[in-house]
Amino acid sequence: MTRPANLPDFEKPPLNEVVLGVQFAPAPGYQQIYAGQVWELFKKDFPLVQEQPALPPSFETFGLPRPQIGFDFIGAGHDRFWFLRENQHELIQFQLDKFLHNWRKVGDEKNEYPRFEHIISKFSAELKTLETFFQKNFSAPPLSVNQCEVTYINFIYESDTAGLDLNDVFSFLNFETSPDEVACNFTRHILNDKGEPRGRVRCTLNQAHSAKGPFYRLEISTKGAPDSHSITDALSFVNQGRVKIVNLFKEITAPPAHKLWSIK
Amino acid sequence: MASPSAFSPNGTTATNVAKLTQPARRVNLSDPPIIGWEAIKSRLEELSKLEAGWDGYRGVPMRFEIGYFAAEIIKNLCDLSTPYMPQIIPGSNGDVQIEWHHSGKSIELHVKAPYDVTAWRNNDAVGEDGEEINLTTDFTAISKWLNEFTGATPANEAAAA
Repeated sequence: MTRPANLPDFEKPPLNEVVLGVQFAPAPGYQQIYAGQVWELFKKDFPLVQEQPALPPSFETFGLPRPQIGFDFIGAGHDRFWFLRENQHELIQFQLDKFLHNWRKVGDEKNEYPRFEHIISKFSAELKTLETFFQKNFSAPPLSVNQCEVTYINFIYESDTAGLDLNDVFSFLNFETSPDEVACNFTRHILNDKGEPRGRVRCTLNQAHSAKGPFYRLEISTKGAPDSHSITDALSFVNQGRVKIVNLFKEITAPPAHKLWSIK
Repeated sequence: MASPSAFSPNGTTATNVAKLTQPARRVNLSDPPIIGWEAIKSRLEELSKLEAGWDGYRGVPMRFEIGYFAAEIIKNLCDLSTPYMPQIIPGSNGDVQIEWHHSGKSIELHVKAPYDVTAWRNNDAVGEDGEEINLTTDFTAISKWLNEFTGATPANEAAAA
């Protein structure tokens, strides 16, 4: 697939991790014992495995009061498995009802971002492989996707923005004196063609430290329900989500920082 | 808000195969127990353990994602002060019904799948035949129905505060 025209493009974006993911109705008859067979589908490229706690289902609903009580209904007991490449730059996350593909910076963080088009091409093929597996082995219907997500996580190191104050990095900040601690978040609704809410774009900014030094962690994610349950519409949501994220990233960061990241 | 721990694997080390150290939890109620919420928790646990043919015919167990979506709706609609806790009734196709009944009035939510809910209510204003709406992502109408059902309005709540 080709990059959309007029989408902001940075040669050196401060990206640290990109995640594409779908949530789907579990295939009838599928149980955790078959997770090994799922790994076999991807083992050639993802030979390493880690077990993780399962992620709870997530849904974007609207019009309801804020949650008043903590109530986690985890449901089916299926672990989350990470299938990792040998270099661990990319991994697949698989559980009963979720499938995600991550790219991330690792080690000395010098591994370059392979670009969205590369990642979604892989993700699309992997999803179809998973769907075929369920159909062939469990007589399952086509994968029924009920939630999609795209997340870009940026690490903006203070050492990389030396000489710029906070207002020169983030366009939505306008301090006379930069604060000592920063943490903020905001949300935009994603509407369908009929103006009905279908998902959210969430942006969070906070500070953290790593071996490389202090940095601002800027996470922008889109989550929501696709127009239909098909893989095609799920990928369409993911593509549109990426466009929203990149446009928002440019909107909330400032021109001096764009120059540092080599905006084209 | 997206949780970094939900999918960010940074900082973890990988061996060839690493063993899970924590058992997966099934249901977790994190606030102080209240009789109504304990009943809802128990009910959802009970429904999640139904077996095929639970109704004596060909009943399908409550589907995992439907149960979770129903729990999400209940969590968002009912706070600690809600006087009327809903009943949760399984359907034969893995679906679930959430119902409130009081003084001849009813609200029923039929959760057929995530983002596929049919809502129905009756009261003096709409009559016995009631009114029915289909919902996907936006549950504003149900918030209003429930406020009318319980008699809670922003003005009432402000006066009681």
